Amino acid sequence: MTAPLDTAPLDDAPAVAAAEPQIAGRSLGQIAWGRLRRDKVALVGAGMIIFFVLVAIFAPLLCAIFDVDPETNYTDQLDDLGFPDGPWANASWDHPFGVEPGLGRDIFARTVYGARYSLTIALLATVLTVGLGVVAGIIAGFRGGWMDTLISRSMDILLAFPVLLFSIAALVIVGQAQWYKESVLYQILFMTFVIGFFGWPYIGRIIRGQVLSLREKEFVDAARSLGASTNRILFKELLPNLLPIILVYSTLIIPTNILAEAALSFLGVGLQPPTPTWGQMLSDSRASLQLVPSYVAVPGMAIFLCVLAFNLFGDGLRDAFDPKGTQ
Amino acid sequence: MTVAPSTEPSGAPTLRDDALLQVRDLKKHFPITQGILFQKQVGAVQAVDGVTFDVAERETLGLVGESGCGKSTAGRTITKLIEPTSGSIVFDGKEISGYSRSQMQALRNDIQIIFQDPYSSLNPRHPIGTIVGAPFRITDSSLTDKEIKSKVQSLLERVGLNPEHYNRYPHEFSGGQRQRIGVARAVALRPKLIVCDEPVSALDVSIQAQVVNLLEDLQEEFGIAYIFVAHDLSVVRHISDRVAVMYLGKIMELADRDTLYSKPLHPYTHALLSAVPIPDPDNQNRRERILLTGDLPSPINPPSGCVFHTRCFKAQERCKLEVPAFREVAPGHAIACHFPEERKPFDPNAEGRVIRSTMSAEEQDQQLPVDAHPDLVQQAHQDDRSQFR
Ligand SMILES: Nc1ncnc2c1ncn2[C@@H]1O[C@H](COP(=O)(O)OP(=O)(O)O)[C@@H](O)[C@H]1O
Ligand code: SF4
Ligand SMILES: [Mg+2]
Repeated sequence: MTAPLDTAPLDDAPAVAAAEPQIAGRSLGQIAWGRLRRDKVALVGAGMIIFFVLVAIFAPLLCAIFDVDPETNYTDQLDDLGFPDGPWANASWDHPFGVEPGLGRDIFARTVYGARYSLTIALLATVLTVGLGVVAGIIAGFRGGWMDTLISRSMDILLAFPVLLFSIAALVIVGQAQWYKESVLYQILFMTFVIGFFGWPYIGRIIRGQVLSLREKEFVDAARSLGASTNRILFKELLPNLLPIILVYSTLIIPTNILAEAALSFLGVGLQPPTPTWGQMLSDSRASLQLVPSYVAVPGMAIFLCVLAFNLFGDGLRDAFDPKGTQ
Repeated sequence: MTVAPSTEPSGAPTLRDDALLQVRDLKKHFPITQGILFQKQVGAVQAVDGVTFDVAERETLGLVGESGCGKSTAGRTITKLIEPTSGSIVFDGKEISGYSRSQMQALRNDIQIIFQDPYSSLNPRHPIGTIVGAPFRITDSSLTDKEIKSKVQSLLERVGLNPEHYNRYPHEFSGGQRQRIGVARAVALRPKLIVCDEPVSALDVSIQAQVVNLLEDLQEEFGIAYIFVAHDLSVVRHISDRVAVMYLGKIMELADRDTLYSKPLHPYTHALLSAVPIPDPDNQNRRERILLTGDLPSPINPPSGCVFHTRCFKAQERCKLEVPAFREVAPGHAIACHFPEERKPFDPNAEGRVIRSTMSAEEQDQQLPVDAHPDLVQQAHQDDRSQFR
């Protein structure tokens, strides 16, 4: 080797070396994780998300502990007029959040089962949105040409689409069909489609923009000059750079979808009773808002806290992956 | 000495048929399209417009010219990262200009490229072991992870990096170290030719020499030929065997290194050489300065005749009308100019003469010393900095 290499093999940029502390092989993901772990607000959000997910998973177990069922009418808890026979919707150890006016179903059981349905629909819809958006964005950005034109114009059209009105109309029409009324699975799938399908242009645009800039990067040319296949370039070179964005946007789309599901159920076009969802409970509680105010509080708080949790965590995640963020 | 300005080109440059790489009249025109759904071509960026040169085995060809003159496009076309518009590229006896991607696969071991930007040339999400191991992983699926790791570690050591750092990520390295990683990736498969696209332009001057030295060592050890791209003549002087000077998609002058630096014939080479800073400040003031006025013309609509005529201090009527042929004027020395003239780059008698292309021939006869003209001195300094960005 020649002299300069011998004298200074590694310290060829002292200024940069000094600014970068010696960290043993930390990837950008690990650095983001390190930042996230010190973000208390994001951690609270993560804790709440875990709590809601556990509640949803163990809903039958929780109901078994209190020996309640979401679809049983506990009429013994109601007075002659059909209102809960005591304050706080007649809350007791047997019925922790009380029972609903009218039918006398257990509010606790309906809330924990509601978490199941609300979260399932929100998550599935997010998977659909993100999946469509990522695939469309990558194709548009990477292929370019007429494919890009086609996809970009579709995005424009879809973004101008009156989604809420369409969703209500579609759900009302389908809601009259017998097969739809009888199958909770079909209802979940259809809700997922209606909520998830129209959101993809948002993330699609972001992914397209990212791919447009990434594919011009010289590391993509380097892979090409080594003879890497298109698949390898997409999955090994581009996708790892897209993952943080996909992750952040997913956590921020979930709460939007929870709210969308609640809104549609509130309007009565969501899952059909007796299947419980939070939006539907909110809707049911309206009639007795003044006489049994604690009923509205339970699904209301559930929606509020769940949406808040995902937003807190999503914001923290975004900050953690922000390349401009500090250690 | 003035080479007789003959209309007849005295023959195409001598081409060595045994050269590793033979590039003939290579063109790359990027189409400019218009229209939303049905795109039609309305013009073309003539980024590379007919270049001809050879690169022998184990040789370094310097490729020099201002930013935007088509050096990178030429390099990328030769590595087939972009498809040539026309012309021929013969590598190792095979005409590769029409090769498809799968046909190129077989040549990937032989032609590699090193990039200018040490930041964007390494995937920020991959540890450097993965980056340097990629050539092996892509070309030879029979290698085990352990074999790849040991190959990667010996490569890292060879380019002056700590082999224990293979698990680290690009952002943990300095610019010079990253460029070494790019070098390691390029030499991994022991290629016969590496296109070095301004490999040191983004680095501190103090580090440039280290990377150039490393490239020279590797060339000696593995017998690699380089096309070494740079935007100023001082960088390639040390490493090149021969130098080609490019302007607006065409080669203006091609000669072996010593001839090009001591007896350049082309006015553009004169201008470039007069801008190379020299260490002795006394001489700096005394030497002749040729200032390139005006901007680089657009490659979408290049000037007629000689593409350099809008900025050439020797331009005459003929230059606007007639394209000068790229022809050999002495063995191994080719130029594209109607009025070549030998001009000492460091003329001690020049007394700081400043030559500007906007001057008429009469004005050129009554040059003023630079010192007498504060404006000119000022401008000379500015041009020094801006010329090759
Ligand atoms: N993909 C492309 N599409 C259109 N024009 C391009 C493209 N790549 C380069 N060019 C143009 O070609 C010319 C030469 O560019 P380049 O080869 O990068 O020059 P250099 O490397 O000498 O600075 C420039 O005018 C540039 O704008
Ligand atoms: S041909 Fe004319 S314009 Fe072109 S470099 Fe020669 S003298 Fe200048
Ligand atoms: Mg370039």
